[in-house]
Amino acid sequence: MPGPIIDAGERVTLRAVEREDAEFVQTCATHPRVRFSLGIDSHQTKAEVRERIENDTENEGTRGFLVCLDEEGAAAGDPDEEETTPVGAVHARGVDRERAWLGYWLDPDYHGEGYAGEAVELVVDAVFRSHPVHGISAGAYGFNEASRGLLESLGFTQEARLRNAWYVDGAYRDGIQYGLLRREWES
Amino acid sequence: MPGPIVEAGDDLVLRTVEREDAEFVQRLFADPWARVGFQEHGHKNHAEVEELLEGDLEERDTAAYLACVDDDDAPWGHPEEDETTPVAFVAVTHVDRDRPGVNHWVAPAFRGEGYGVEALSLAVDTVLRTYDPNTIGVEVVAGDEATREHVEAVGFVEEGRNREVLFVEGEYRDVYQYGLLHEEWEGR
Repeated sequence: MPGPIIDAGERVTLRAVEREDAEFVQTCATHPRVRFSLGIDSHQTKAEVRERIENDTENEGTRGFLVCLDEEGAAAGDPDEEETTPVGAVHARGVDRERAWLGYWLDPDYHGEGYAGEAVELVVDAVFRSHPVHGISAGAYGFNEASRGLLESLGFTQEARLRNAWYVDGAYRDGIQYGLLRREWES
Repeated sequence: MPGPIVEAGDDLVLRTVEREDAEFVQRLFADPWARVGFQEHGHKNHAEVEELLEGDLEERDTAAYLACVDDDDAPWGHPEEDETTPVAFVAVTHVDRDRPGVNHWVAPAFRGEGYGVEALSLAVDTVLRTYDPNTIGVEVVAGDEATREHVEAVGFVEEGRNREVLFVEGEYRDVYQYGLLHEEWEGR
């Protein structure tokens, strides 16, 4: 189950990613709609995902958030299973450097409701408030209109298009890089 | 000293980087423009560079080369100290993926003689003959004009500019993204 609330928006709460969430993360990350968009090379076992949480999410330079839909009155601390529904995750890596990198995904059952936009906006704000980064970067494949639209709606600027850079879902795809500077976010 | 020849060009050869070459590679980490390509903002001591040579640079997904000026009688195999002069270092990461990244650095005493272009060009050629990436990427920090010239001379195409992403020499600097498709290299 997800951990305590770190930040809350109108509809979603951000809770700590716990090691026990490996099963949920694995289930979503294996789904073709998530796996290809994220550029995950291949599927992973639950043990591998748990190891990734231990090595990557728990890394000093990483902030890992589980995107949750809380029931009314859900505990701010560790919630019971019926009190919250995890629907995705947002990670900010490199928060201890000049530039943080965002990665995010949502359970395909919850796409199209604007939850990702709300969650990513909360994380961008949290990163700029808590870490001395100069800017935040994110990437999306050229075909991923939903992700690119999300970044553009939050004020990210397209900075580069790496041509045919990644083999994803059966073809070489462009990688689009976006950046958002602290002063742009604050204005 | 560098090891055997991996690739031979007109004026330079690419030789293997050996653990004894730490002294040469260490100077790269004294260069604030070059070391950021290796995710470092500070220098390294000799022991740290040895660790890098034995660790990351010997990983199977990394290819590292010392570009050297050989004497006429330098052997294909291990040269003596007076038979070759290392002038540049090239490291290629993620050679097993779709888009490996290349970093190259010419030692200060050997700049302005075309070695950067030849070393980079030899490395691109040998990487594309040895592995099967679709494209090769290079990042250049804005302000490092010599490196930018090498990269463009070899045929890399500018694909964008990440704004103010690296703090180098007192300022947040832009980083240019360059890419070279395998088919572009073949058709040059």
